[in-house]
Amino acid sequence: MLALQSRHTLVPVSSPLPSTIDLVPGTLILGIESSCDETSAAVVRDGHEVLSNVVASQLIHSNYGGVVPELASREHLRAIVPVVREAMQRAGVTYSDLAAVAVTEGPGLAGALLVGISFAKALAFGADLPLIAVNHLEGHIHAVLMQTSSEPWALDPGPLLALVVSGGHTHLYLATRTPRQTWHYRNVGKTLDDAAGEAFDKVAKLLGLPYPGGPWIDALAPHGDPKAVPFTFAQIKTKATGNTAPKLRRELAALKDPILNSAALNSAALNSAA
Amino acid sequence: MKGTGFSPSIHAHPEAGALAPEGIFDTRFDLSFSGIKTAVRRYVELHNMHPTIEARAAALRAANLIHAKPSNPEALAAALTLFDTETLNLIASFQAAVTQTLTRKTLAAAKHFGARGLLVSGGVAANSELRRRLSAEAARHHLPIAFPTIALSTDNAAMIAAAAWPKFLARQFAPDTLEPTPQLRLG
Repeated sequence: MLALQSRHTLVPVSSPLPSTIDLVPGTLILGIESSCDETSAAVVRDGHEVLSNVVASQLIHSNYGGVVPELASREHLRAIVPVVREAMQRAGVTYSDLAAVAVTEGPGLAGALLVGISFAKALAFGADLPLIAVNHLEGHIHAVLMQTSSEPWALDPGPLLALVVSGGHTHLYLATRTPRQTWHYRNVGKTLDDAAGEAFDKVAKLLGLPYPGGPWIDALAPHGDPKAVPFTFAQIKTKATGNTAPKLRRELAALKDPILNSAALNSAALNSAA
Repeated sequence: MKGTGFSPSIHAHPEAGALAPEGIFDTRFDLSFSGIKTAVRRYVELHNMHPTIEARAAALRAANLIHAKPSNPEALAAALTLFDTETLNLIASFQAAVTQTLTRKTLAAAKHFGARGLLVSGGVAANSELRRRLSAEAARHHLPIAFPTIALSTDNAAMIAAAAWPKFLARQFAPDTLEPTPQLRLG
């Protein structure tokens, strides 16, 4: 396991491994991902050892300040063949070395998903390999599990809490290992409106930051005072209305719970503006 | 969906989430980020920041920084000269509010459901303040926590192949009729 750790960080593997099956023991799965604006292919051995992980990010969307679905589909079409070829080459394997092809079935942009799925189906049919459909959100959870699954606490039968937070998703899941060693998920929290990353993107666009804006906000934030603008969640209705309406009084009482509700957050708008 | 967090049935059954069968409507650990985005917009409008923002966007374009990455220290240093204190404070406050909310909610849910550890993933898991806050809070609650490497935080195919592994072992294969499911849910 330890010897394999270094591979986890990689995107490219510099020296391709020989392609004979004797030197590539274990089971190889080719993964294909095309749900949003990255075309990606990867070869992973035994579910945790990344032999290659090629990601082509679509730069075209920077001209628009956000992902344009139709353009994303076209970019996936352009990229899918070279990206898969590159992933196979970097892993130093051929299609006959693979045990299965895995592909993102959703959630995501319909046209973008279709490119990856069509390619994966054709490849699985042509190479006579089984096809495995993967939920993109489960994929995100396994991005962490694949690096931690051998640690004692991750082997504990108790549930793990997974926060999946991106430009398209903000979900809390309870992940539990089943007796069959598959995973069972229970969605225990989600965003009621925008994803957290979407808020980062929109605020970055509003403030005229380069695209994609999330990393820029992260890099610029240490240069400002995080207490300068009070984006507080609970007090504002009292300030704005005097808390006279019964409905607001109920809401404020409820806010003592660890619930963050969109009405209260919207109030933060008034608060910070005042 | 807005405001449903306070439906009376939830208060009538405070332990609903722990005892109820799965799928029961429970919003205790739900989040919202559209309000804070509007809050920033209102702040920008009320403080008349639009002229500065447009001037800065033009300057970033002129300096060819619009496609630059902040991981490049020269690009970041050059960009920083174009930002005033007011904007930097707004950015810092926004990020603090979002990461604090995510941290609180995650820890509250972990505590409520008796989670043995925390897994954090997705593009925003690359955010350094979120990592710092979550790590600190997890340590305070003696909960192990794991993040993927930055390359595995954002969308990639290695995580798809990894998630396929238990399905492969369990022989859970997709039919030839597989089609995209844009609104696919998990759990």
